[in-house]
Amino acid sequence: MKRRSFIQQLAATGMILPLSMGFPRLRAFAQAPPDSEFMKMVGVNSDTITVIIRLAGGNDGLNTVIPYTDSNYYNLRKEGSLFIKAEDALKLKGSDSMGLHPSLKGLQELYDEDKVSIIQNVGYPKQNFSHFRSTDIWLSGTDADVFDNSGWYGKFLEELYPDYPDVLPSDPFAIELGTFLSSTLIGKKNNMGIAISNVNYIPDQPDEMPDPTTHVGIEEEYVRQIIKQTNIFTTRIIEAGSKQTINKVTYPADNPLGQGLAGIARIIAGGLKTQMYIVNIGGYDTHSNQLTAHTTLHKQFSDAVLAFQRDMEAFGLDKRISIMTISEFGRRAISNGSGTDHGSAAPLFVIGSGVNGGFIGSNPNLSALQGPGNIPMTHDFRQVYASVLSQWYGAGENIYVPSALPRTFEQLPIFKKLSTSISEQAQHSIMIGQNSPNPASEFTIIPIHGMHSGTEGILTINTPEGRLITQYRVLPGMESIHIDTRSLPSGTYFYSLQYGRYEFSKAMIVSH
Amino acid sequence: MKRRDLFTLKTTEEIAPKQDLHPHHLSRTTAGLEPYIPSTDQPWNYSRAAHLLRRTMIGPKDREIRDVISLGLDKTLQQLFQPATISTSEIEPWCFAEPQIKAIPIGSGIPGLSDPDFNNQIQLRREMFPRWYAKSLAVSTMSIQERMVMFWSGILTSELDVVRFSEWMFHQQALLRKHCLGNFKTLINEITVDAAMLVYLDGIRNQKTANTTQINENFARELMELFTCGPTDWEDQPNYTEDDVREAARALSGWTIAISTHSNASARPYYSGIKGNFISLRWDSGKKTFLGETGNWKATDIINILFQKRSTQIARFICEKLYRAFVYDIPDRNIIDQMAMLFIKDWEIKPVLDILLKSAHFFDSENIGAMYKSPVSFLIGSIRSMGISQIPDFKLEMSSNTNRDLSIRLGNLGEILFNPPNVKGWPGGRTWVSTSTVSLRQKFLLDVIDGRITLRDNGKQTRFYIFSALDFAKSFPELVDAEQLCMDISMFMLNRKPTEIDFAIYLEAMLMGAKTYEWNLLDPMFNGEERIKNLLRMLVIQPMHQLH
Repeated sequence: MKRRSFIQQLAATGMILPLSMGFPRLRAFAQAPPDSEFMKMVGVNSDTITVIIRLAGGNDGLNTVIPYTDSNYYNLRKEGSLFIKAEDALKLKGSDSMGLHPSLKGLQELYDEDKVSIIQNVGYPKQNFSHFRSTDIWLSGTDADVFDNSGWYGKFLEELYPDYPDVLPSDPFAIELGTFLSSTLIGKKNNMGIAISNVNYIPDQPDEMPDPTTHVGIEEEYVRQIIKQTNIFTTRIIEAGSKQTINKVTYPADNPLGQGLAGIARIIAGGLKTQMYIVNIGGYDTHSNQLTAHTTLHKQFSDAVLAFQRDMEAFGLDKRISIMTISEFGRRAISNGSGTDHGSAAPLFVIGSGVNGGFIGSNPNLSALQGPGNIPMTHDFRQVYASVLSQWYGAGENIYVPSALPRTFEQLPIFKKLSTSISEQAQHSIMIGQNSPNPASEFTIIPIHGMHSGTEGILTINTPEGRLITQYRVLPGMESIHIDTRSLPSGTYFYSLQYGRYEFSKAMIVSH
Repeated sequence: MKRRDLFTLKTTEEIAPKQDLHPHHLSRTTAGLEPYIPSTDQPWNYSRAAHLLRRTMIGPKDREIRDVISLGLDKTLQQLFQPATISTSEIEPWCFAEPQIKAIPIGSGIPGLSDPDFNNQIQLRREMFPRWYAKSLAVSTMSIQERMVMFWSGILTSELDVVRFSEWMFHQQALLRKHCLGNFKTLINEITVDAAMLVYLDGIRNQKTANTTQINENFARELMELFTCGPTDWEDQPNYTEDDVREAARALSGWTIAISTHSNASARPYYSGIKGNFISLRWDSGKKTFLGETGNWKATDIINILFQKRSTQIARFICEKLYRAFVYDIPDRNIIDQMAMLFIKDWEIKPVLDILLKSAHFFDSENIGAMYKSPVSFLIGSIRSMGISQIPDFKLEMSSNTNRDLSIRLGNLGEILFNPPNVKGWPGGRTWVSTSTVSLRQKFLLDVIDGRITLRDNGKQTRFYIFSALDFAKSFPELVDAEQLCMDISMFMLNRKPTEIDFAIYLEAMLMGAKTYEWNLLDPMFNGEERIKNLLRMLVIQPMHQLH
C-alpha cells in the first residue's frame, strides 16, 4: 500500500499518526471558535467564574465559624478542650455572637470588606454520615435517597450543550485540578470538564476505530475521547498560561491550595473562558488531633483565598470571580476527646467582590441537637447551587431544573445583583442547528432559527485551519440553507453564522 | 452464547441502576463460572494466556506468555497460586531500624517528633519503602501474590503519610501478604488490631476509662462501609444504622499499640513494638447492641456478629471487588452472586479466585483487554515487560530526588504507593485515564523509547530508563519474517490482533521504507534498533495500549 493512500484512509477513519513519522496532524473533530457569545446564545452569562474549593473529609463548622457566646458550645467541646476560646475567635464586623477561627485572618479581612457571604447550617434532609455517599450527594445535587453518579454542574452543562462532545467548545467548560475528575463535572452521558494536575506543565500528545459494541470497544472509545479532549483543550490552556506568566501578588509559600489558585488566576487573566474550576484539599476528617490540624488547614485556606482575591482585584477581574467552599458534612457538636466524628450541617462560604457579604441565616442551635449531637440544618446546599446558577450564571430555572437540581429551591441573597435574565437574552435567540445529513455527501441542509424581519446575517464555511470555502447571505425569514457539498473534499468543516456582533458556529463532516 | 438475552437485560437493569455513567452497564456475555474449555471460537492461545498473566501479575513478558500457552491453564494457575518469596534484605536496614521508634510518646509537644533530624530520618524511610516495593514488583516472579497484596491494600487501606512509620506499614503489608489468598475473616480480625490500622483510623484513641469517654467512630464505620459489607445491600437497604456504628465503636475501644509505663492508664503511654495491645482499662465495658445483638461485646464479637448477620452482604461486597479487579470494571451480579455463594462457606479467598480465573466468563473474548492499566501496571509493568533498565528508584543504596523519579511519576499518574487518596482506596477503572494522565503515560514511553530521560546523578547528567529495542525484539521467537515479528510485537503491546489496515500501518512504520524481503534485523547496517523503535512509537500511542 502506498503512503499516500494511507493518509487518505487515515483521514477517512479519523486516525492520527504520530508526529515522528512526519505526517501532518489531522484533527477530525469539531471545534467551535473561541467566542464568548457562544454561551449567550444559550442564555447564560459568559464571563462569570466560580472556583469551588472542596474541603474533603467533612470540615468542622463549629470550629470554623465559632458561636463564641454560646455556653453550649463550650460544654459540648470540653472533652480534650476542643473549643476556640471566646477571646481567640476573630470578631466580625456587625456580629456579636459569631467569630472566625484564629487562623482565618485573611477571611476576616475580606468579610469586613463585605466580600464573604456565610450561609449558616448548610446540609440536606436525611443526612448520610459516610464520606463517600455524602460527597456523592453534594456533588450530584440529588436527594439523599437518589443514586446518581453524575454531578449538578455536569448535568447543567449537558442541558446547555446537547451537541457536546460532537461539537467541542474552544475552551474547556470546567477544569478540576488533580488527576481525577470528580462527579461534579460528569454529566449523564459525558465528562463535561477536564482534570489537570498542574496548569504549569501540560504536555501535548498525538491522538488516533473500535467496535463500539464490545467491552473493549467501549473503553477504547473512552480513551480516544480523553485523548481528543487533551489535545484540543491543553493547547488553549498553554496559550492562556503563556499570555500571563506571573501573578500580580505573591502567594503564600508552602501552600498547595495557594499554588493551585495562583495557576488558576494566571489562566483566567490569560483569557481562558472556562467558567468553573474545582480544587480539592483534604485533611478535614479530624477524628483526632483536630486543634492542630485545623490550625494548619484553616491557615492554608485563608492565606490562599486572600491572595487569590487580591490578585484578581489587581487584574481588575474580581467582579467576575467567586469562590464557594463545599464539604460533605460538618462534624458532631460533641468532642470525642481529640477530635470530632462525622456530623451534619455546617457553614458554607461564598467569597468575592460580587457577593453581598454577611451572614445568611441564624446561628447553629446547639440546644436542639439531633440524634447523637448533630446540628440541625437550616439551609439546603441546593439553595446555594440554585443561587449560583441563577444569580451568578444568569441561568433560567427552566435550564437547571430538573437537569442539575431535582426541583425548585428557594434562592438565598448571596450575590449583589441578579444577572440579566434569560428572557431578555431570548430576544437575540438566533441559532443555527446541526446540518443534516451529517456526514454529507451530495448536499446538506443547515437549519436557522429566529431570523426575524430586519435581520440579516452571513453564513461562512471554513476549513479547520480557517480557510474560507464559501459564504452565503442569510435573509430575514430564512429557515434553512441548502449547501451543495459535491465539490468539497472529505473532511471536517466549520460553518458559522455572523449576525451583528454575534457569531455561532458548528461543525459538519463531508464524506464521499 | 455471546449476546445478552432478555432475562439478563431485565435483571441486570433492575439490580444495577448505578452504572449509568458507562454507556453500557450490561454484561455482554452469558458465559458463566463453568470451567473454560478451549474451542474453535475461544481457543487457548496467545491472547488468552496473555490475558491470564496480565490480570494476575505485573508486566508479563512475551516469553512468559508463550511458556504459559504450552503449560496449559491448570498448571499455570497452580503456579500462579504458589507463594512467592519477596526479598526484604534491602529494606530491612531501613524499615527495621526506625529511629528511636521505641521511645516516642503519643501526643503533641514531644521532643522526638519536633526533632528535624528525626523527621528527616522517618521521611527518608517513607521514601525508601515505596521504592523498595516498586523494585520488588519489577523483579517479581510468576505469581498472583503481589497483585493480591495490592488488591487488599486498596481495600483495607492505610496511608503511609498518616501512619508516618514505614515499619508499621511494612508489617501491615506482611500481614496482607500472609493472608492474601487465605481466610478473609482471619484477615479482618488481624487488620482490626494491626498497628498501622490502629493509627490510621484512630483505634489507638478510641477509649473509655474511669475519667474519660473518648469513643472514636472512625474505624467502626469504615470496618462496615469499606472493609466488609458496604453501606447497603443489593436492594439498596442499609446494612447498618448510625447506632450500629456507635455501638461497634464502643466495643472496638481499648486497643492501642502502646503499653503504659504506669499502671495508671491515663498517664501518657509510650509506643512499644508493633503489635496491637488490648488494655481493658481503656475498653468500654458496658452493654452494646450491635445489629440487634446485645452483650458485653469486644472487637472479635463485633466481627463475629458482622460475619454472621451480614454474611451475604459481605460475600457479595468482596466478590464484587474481586470481579472488578480481575474481570471488568462493570460488575456482573449473576457471576458475583455465584462467587459469593462459594465465599460465604468458609471465607477462603483462594477457591473463589481459582474458580473465577478458570471460568468461561473470565476467558470470554468480551472480557479480554477491556481493563485500564493502573499506574503500577503501566509504569512498572512496562519496565518489567519491555526490559527497561537503570531505574533511578531501584538504586536503594542511595537517596536523592533523582532516586524518586519513578515514585514521582506514579504519583503524577495518581497512584502514590502506600498513599491512597483516601480511606476508600483508588477508584480505579476509567479514572486512571484522564486529560491529566493520558499524555503523561504516552510521553513516558515515547521518552523511554527515544532515550530522552536524563537526571542528575552524583552531580552529572545521567541517562536513566535505558531501553534496547533490539534486545526487546530479540526476545520474540520470529526475527526473520518481518510481518510475523510485527504481528507478534503488536499482539504483545496491544493485547489483540490488529485489523488489516492497522497492521498495514504498523508494518509500514516498522519497515521505514524497506521492503519485507530486505528485512534483516540482526545486521548492524540495517538499523533494526531504530525500526523497532519506530514501530513502538506507533503502538504506545494507541488507545488500546492504555488497556489490558
